[in-house]
Amino acid sequence: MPSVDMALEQLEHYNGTNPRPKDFWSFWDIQVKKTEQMTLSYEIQKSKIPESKYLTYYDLWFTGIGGSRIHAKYLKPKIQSDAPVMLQFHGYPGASRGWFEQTSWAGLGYALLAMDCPGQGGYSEDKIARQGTTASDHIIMGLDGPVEQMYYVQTFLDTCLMVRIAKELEGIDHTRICINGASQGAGLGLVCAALNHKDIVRCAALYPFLSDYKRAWDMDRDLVVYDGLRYYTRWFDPQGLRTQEIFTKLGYIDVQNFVERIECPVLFGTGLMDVFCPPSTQFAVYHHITAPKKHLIFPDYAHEEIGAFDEAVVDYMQCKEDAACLQ
Amino acid sequence: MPAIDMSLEQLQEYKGSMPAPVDFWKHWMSVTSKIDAMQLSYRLVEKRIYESHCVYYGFYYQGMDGQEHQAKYIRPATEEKVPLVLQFPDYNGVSRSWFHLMRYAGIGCAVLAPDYALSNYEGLSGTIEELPVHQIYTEALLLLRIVSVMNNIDQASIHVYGEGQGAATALVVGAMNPKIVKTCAMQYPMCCDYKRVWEKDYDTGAYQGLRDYFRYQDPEHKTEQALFEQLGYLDAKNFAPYVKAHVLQGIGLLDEISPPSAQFSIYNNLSCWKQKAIFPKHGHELNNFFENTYLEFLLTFGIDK
Repeated sequence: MPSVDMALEQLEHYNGTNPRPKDFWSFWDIQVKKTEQMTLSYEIQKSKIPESKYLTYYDLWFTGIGGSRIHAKYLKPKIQSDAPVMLQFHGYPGASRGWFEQTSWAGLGYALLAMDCPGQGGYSEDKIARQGTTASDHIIMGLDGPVEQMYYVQTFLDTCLMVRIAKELEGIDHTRICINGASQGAGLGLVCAALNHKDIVRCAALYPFLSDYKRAWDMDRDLVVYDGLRYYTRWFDPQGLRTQEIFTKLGYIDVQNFVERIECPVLFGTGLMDVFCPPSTQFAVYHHITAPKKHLIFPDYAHEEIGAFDEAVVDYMQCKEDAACLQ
Repeated sequence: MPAIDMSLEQLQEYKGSMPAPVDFWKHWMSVTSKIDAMQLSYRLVEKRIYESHCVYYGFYYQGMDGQEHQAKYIRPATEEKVPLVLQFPDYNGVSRSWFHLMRYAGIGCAVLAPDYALSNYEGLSGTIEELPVHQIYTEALLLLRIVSVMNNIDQASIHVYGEGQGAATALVVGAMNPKIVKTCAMQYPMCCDYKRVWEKDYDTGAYQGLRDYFRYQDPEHKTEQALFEQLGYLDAKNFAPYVKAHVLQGIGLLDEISPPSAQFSIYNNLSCWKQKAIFPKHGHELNNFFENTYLEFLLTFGIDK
């Protein structure tokens, strides 16, 4: 079997390297509570895409954490009054994918919300001032200040606001809120499913990013998407004197620490040739999921579109029975 | 403006490096006659039913070679006549995933997406009819004829789409069926201005056949003129003047697979209603912005609201 990481037998038993802060859940419970108490503020406008007989395309803007104006694409089928809704999260450091790509879920009667992450390749702004370098990468943004200022603390909480908005939208079946994402989108999706475990009924995650930072750094794979780790440690801790402290702090935004709270069945996918998000960092996440789960492994695929996973996601989402949806 | 080819001003005027063969149209009319004489044979096999939304079908049809060929077919779950997009695969010959194609169901449209199984894919030896690209165009024309007799399709709303080689194929189908094809959308078309591709030294990847032909079969280029004349029968820009559909074409100015000049030779030979989307910092790649434009184009000129 070709390999860019441990042997598959080892991956199947790998539980993660990155340290976990002792007060992980007490920190996050406070953040989630504060977010729940925020007054929701959002507006919905028709987008530039003409509406069809079946579907309307909207831009949705909401006030996110720190007062940032956050953008999401919102697609709403016309022919159904109780549409399930898909929360779609995008890869790093881009934007929600194009309107036509987002239309696939409408083919199955879903409404869809696709948030642009603050300050990345879409239209969402990032108004939060932070301590520390801003020269590279969002993983390390805010790493020198209070934990709640870290970029991904903000962004994870923005996904909670997205769920709250989904629960207010008209014509939506609020008992069928589903999540789909790849890479950063899978990381955000898993965290969103954990922090909103009472509301999310499905979560599909393909090669999640934002996990087991220490492992990516140890492997010298702190390149491309994880390159912030390389910059930060070379610039601010060149002798490795603060390694434990740095990675413990990153533990607050490590996806593997969240997933034990997920309650819905999870469909998970990994390409074993992935050099951006090393397979071990993904397996660490998978192993910490305690809900029903299924891991589809693609030995010949890297960090790329995997059509076979997409087909599996459709059947998993469409199956309403929790007990059967992973079969 | 970044450039790997002519300046944009030159590109806007460029119409290709070689004229069409004198009997170009005669040749393709004779191909069409053969297709028209074919006994059509196709069948549908249900693959997945997503109740009240859409149905996936395996679509099997008898090709020009008498063999059974396959395509993916998705249609909205309705008995009503629906618009149809015929989406042709790029150079790898593989249709996009079911999930990818389901976007058409979201706007109430059926999609038919063939797969190709051709051997000797890059060969340039043999008669024009034996060349793989000729076979691809011919099969595509046959498929359109099948679509044109499907009775649960809105025959006034048939569209063609493709990327790369699939884009050229879509254009050919549009050119040969001006009364049937309503819109034709192309992203970074290939199979155009072969001589220009070769002169720019871009005969790698999908055009590797050109390089291999000269290096291994004709290193002294004794047949160069004849080869490029023969390829004129397959050059998408020679079909362009015959297209009557609304056309959308996407072009990345940093495209090193299908050089921008070759793509402009198609666009500048179109005399129908046409729209181009130029991406100065994109290469041979799909991008969200083109897909947005394609969706707007389809909803504006194609799919009935």
